This record gives sequence, C-alpha cells and structure tokens, in this order.
Amino acid sequence: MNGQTAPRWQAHCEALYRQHATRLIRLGRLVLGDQQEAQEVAHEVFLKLIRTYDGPVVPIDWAAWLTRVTINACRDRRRAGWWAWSRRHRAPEMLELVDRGATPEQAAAGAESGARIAAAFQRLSPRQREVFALRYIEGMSTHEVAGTLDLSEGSVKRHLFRAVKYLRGALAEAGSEGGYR
Amino acid sequence: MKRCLSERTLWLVHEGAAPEQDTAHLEGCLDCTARYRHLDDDLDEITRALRDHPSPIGRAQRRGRRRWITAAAIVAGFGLLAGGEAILWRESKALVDPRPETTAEALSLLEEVTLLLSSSGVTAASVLVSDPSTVIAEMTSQESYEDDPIAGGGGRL
Repeated sequence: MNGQTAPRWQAHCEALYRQHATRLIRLGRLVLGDQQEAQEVAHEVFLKLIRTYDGPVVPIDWAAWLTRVTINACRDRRRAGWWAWSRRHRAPEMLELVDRGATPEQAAAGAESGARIAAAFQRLSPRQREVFALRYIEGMSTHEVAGTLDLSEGSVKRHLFRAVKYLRGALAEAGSEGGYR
Repeated sequence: MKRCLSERTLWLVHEGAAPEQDTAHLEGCLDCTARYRHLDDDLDEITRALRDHPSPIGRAQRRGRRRWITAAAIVAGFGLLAGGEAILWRESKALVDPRPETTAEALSLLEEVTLLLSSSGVTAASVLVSDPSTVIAEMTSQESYEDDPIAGGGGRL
C-alpha cells in the first residue's frame, strides 16, 4: 500500500467499523449465543478486512462481505472442538435463566418471555439460527440470505419456516406460563 | 370458498412469496386475517426479543467461568497448603530425628576422643593443641608410645 492509499484505506476501515460493528456483534451473538465470542468474531472480521484488502478502496458491497465473513467466522468457531465442548457443558445452565428473582410484574413477564425466546433460539439448529438472524434481524431478503449462505432459496425458506414455527411455539408457551401477552 | 390457509402458506404470504390466489383469500377471510396478524405480531415480538435480550448463554458462560475460576482457585489453594505442610513436616522431622550418618560420625568421633583421653600417653591439653589426625595416628599405633621416651612422663608440653 503506498503512502496515499494507506490513510484513505484506514479511514474507510474505521467508517466500516463504525457502521457495521454493532450489527456484526449482534449477528454473532445470535448465531453463537455468546456476546463475548461475538465481539471476538467481529474483531477477527475487521482484522481480516484490513489484511485481505491491502490496497486501494475497492467498490464492493461491504455490508454483504462483512456479513458473509462473520457467518463463516462463527462457523469456524462452532467447528472448533473446545467450543462444542464448552457449549455442551454450559447448556444446562440456560435453564437457570427461567427462574430469576422477582422484579416488577410486567417487566418480569417481559424479561421472562425474552429469556425464553432467546433460549429457544439457541436450541435451533445452527443453520436455522443463521437463516433467521439474517432474514429477520439483519433484514435481508430470502434471495440475499441464500446468496450469503450458499443455499438454495427453497432451502432457506424451509429452514426459516421451521425456525419461525419453533420460536412461535416457545413464545406461546412463555405467554401461557407467564400470563404474558 | 377456498379452504383456510395453512401455517406455511400464511407465512409465505407474510414473506411475499405466496401465489396471488392465497393473498386474495387472505383479504376475504377474517379467520386467516386474524391468524396473519397474530403471525406478524409474533414475528415482531420474537425479533424484538432477540435484538434486545442479552444472550442467555453469554451470561451462563460468564457464570460458568466464574465457577471454574473459583474451583481452580480452591484447588490451587489446597495444593499450596499441602505443599507447604509437606515442606514443614520434612523440616521438623529432620530436627527431631537426626540423620543416621550424623549419628555414626558423632559416635565415631566420641569414641576416638574417649580413646584419646583415656590413653596414658596423651593429656587433654595435648589433644587440644595437637593436630587431631596426628594424635589419633599416634594413639592407634602402640609401638609409637612404647618407643617414645617422653610418653611415660605424661605429655609433650
């Protein structure tokens, strides 16, 4: 990188970080189920960005690139043996979330419901989590999700519908048990 | 009238991926319209919960990490305590129960000193001023005392 392109590239990276970091951390948190891991993944992604595009600013769809790299980084983490091990060992602790201390009634019901939905989301398959997060949290179209995840649109719809069905079931359960909604 | 829409078709309508006739049915069926609104509300609720709610596993993991750290600290504490105790025990044992080599050396020295002091040709003073090895050599050699004319006189001072 020459002397003129370096500051421009640095400014571009900073702008991308400001624009997308929060979104990528949220996406990582949903896919991995862990805020800290998600932050690490986001940092990895931006490091990769800096290392990979060591040249003049390229006019590509950075949002899509960052999303795809984040999803791949999350998959790499999930594949790591230690991650699967730690996840298996900490999974039962999720149940503890259901029983929490008393707070004002409405807030407690809402928090309870949110916790149940978040816990239910983590029980989805990794693919269903990815598809749901990209479609409903990131607001991508089915076509874009399919492109990002290298899936057919039919497959995306199938995963998405299953995820929606499961999460709606969890929401209904939370509503009936907590008298919420 | 067409049968009410299935859950999947209703969801496809929501996604904008359903055929025209299903969308038309939805407009004319109160039941399906109510179910559609319910689906829309549920998706809003789920999306909001997932956006806003902190990760359950993240919290559980932090709690799990804290437990691991506590357990590791307890184990390390016990290890240090046991190690320290073992060192102290070994030192105290060494003080109470002297090593056999030391005893043997001490006994041998005492024996030599006794032999030296009890011998007729050497006085305590001579032992003190002379080189011990020389004295011992002299004492153990019987001829050297007999041949020495001064030995019978009680010392070499």
